[in-house]
Amino acid sequence: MMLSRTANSLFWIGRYIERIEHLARYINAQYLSSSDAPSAFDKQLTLESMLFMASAAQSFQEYSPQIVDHQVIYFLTLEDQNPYSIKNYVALVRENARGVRDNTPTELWEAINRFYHAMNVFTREEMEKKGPYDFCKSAMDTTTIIKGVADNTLLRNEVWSLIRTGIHLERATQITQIILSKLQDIRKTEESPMSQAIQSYHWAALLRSAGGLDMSRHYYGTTPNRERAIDFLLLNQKFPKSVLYNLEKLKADLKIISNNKPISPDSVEFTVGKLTANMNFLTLDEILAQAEKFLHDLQQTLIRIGAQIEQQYLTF
Amino acid sequence: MIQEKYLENLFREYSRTSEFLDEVFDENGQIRQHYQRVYNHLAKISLPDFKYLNDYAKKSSFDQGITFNVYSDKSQGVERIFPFDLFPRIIPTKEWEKIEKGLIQRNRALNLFLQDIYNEKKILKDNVVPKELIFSSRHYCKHMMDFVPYGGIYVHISGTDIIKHKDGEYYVLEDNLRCPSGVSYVLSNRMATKRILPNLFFKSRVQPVVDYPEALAEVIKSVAPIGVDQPVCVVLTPGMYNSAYYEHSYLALQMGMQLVEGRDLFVDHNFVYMKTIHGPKKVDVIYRRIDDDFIDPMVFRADSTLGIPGLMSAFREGNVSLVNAPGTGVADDKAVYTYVPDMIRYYLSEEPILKNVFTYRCEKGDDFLYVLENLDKLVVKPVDESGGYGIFIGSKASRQEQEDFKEIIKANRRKYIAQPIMSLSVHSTFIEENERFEPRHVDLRTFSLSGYQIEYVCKGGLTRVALRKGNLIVNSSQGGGSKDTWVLQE
Repeated sequence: MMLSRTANSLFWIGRYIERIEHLARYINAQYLSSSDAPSAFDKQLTLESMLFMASAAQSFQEYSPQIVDHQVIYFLTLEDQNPYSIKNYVALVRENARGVRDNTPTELWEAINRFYHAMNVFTREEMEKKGPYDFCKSAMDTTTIIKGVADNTLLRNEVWSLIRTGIHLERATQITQIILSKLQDIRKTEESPMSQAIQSYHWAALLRSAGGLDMSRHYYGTTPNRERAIDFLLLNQKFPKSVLYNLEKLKADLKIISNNKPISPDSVEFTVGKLTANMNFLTLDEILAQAEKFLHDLQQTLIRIGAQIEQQYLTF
Repeated sequence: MIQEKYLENLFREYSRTSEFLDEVFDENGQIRQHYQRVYNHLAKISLPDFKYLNDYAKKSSFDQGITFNVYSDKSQGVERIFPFDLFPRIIPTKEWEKIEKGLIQRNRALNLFLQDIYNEKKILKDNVVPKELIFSSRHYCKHMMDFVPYGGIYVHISGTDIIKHKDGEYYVLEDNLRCPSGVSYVLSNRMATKRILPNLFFKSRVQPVVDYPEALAEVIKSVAPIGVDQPVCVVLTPGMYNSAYYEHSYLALQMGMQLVEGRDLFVDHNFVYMKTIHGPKKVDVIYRRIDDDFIDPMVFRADSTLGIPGLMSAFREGNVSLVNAPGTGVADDKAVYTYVPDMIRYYLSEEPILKNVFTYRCEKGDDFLYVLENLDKLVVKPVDESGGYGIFIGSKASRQEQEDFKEIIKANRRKYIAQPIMSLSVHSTFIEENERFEPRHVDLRTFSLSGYQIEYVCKGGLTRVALRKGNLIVNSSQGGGSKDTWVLQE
């Protein structure tokens, strides 16, 4: 017996927590790896890449005429005016968590509440002086703690499954966006004479931004390239951040939420099932032939899945 | 070498006052017997250690999110914790027994009174309580007429405020019969004490308060509509921006009940349902923390977005129970308060166990004249405000302010009552800015429950402290703090 409003909050707690983690990791990874960049590489590009990944290019343009590093980082992390800054996402997580206190253990609320207060301690001055590392590290660590607390305390019922649904859908969406953003970075530097060096740098950065560089090296026993990076992030069945892995989990969680109801063609269970089946029988070559188109289509389907979940379970 | 300061030194510098009763120290400056153990324990703590514990208590409330919002539209910087003082307030067994009996007696009479004035109106016909007083009250709810809620219980949860006067007697300051709040602080203060002063607490044989949520759940279930076997009970909150939201969610969690907002419920054919992910689910009892005015826009305020259209009609059909029932505000009005001792005699044929503060009713001719002439010695209160708003303290007002206030009273005599300035007792309290203990005024919010064949009083309550020196109003929205309240076991 769960209220639709509660379901809505749980779903968005999952989504926002996951979004915060990916944003923080991406900002951090981009910022750090820009210092390793070959000389041809333009610092400007890392900043544009951050904004693209956060889908904030346009709103930043309205915020500041020039793309300056500390401005971009502040905008994405702490800026109150930016409704999609990490700090504001944390406030949204807390607000949603506060609304479902009767359904969730005290430990989960306290972890989220501490996160909120910890984020409020960071200042612009400090961020400009020290860079985003401390902030991003703290955000990544804390989202992991919160997910761990949820993992260790929640009953395996629809409360758990709704948070997981949010997490898996968001993770698939973010990974898709990260790949897209990297493909775009590479396209922008294609004319450069050092292209080859830059490319291998980019594939490593892509995997690092998704938190999968070490495990990909381990899995393939060699350094990343285009094929291996895309394969690992989209199709790997064992990597918990790959899109396919998350779709499989999403399918399982929706089954718990729907109470094993038979699937009708207009249901979200159907859309997820079909997408998962498709991706299970897709070859890497088919994807690489039209990588960006494939990713855009995938993104559209993920958006539709979100809308269907909303319509089916989160609104009454 | 600088000698470390211990609380013992601080207590030695404690400035006693002879003007008020001090809960901890007697007239000769000696520790009262029931405080001896706590005193001995605290005295041996060094000041830096104590400050550390004090900060720990604050951080713990903050982490738990036990914050309340001060009315404001800003989204940040308005979350405050309700300051918690580590020096507990102690009530000896004998004194508590009397309080408990008195509260139960009072609540029985108030429930009978409500049933009477909405139905037979005997007490009005017998001229024990003037009927003008009742029918002119803003809180008299005509939608409750000729209807008796399940078990004849109107007030399931009552928050009676009590003070200890200079004469050593407890007096009832006011009844809170609508949606009394504060019990979550009682529970979280106790939790904090157990964490911070475990050795002291476990040696002290204190009556538990943790059974409150369980007792409340029992009471709520006991008034489920007839024929409902496994009642679905919910807690109805105005939402997370309400200043008492922490309490609503805390109680729901502790009782294992769903916390709902008005928009989560709807009424169909006089039954109430909640909107779940698998369709509508019938609701049997609603512990509502929304004021009467807002619970049903079809009956009360039409602009309310917090309520559920049709709820009152479902209630009157007996398909859903409301805790507390609507219309109870008429009995906690400060003018009606003055008649509670008469009600006790009238309905129960008993003498009141707890005293009322003597009250002048401005609508009565003699009383009115007395109030005008003695304004400087009185506290004047509007009868229908809560939260300490609108209170006029004669002794603190300038001559001009007194004159102005007389005009205000004259314009609406029914609205004001006056009481002699009660000397609320004081309690030794740690004042952070001064790093020492100072006497501060305290009162006690008690929590009593009445269900079908259940009567329960929480053994303890919320001791509220007026943190501002000399301030007599002890309300969280007016810079108050609180203390854990220990009722000792025999």
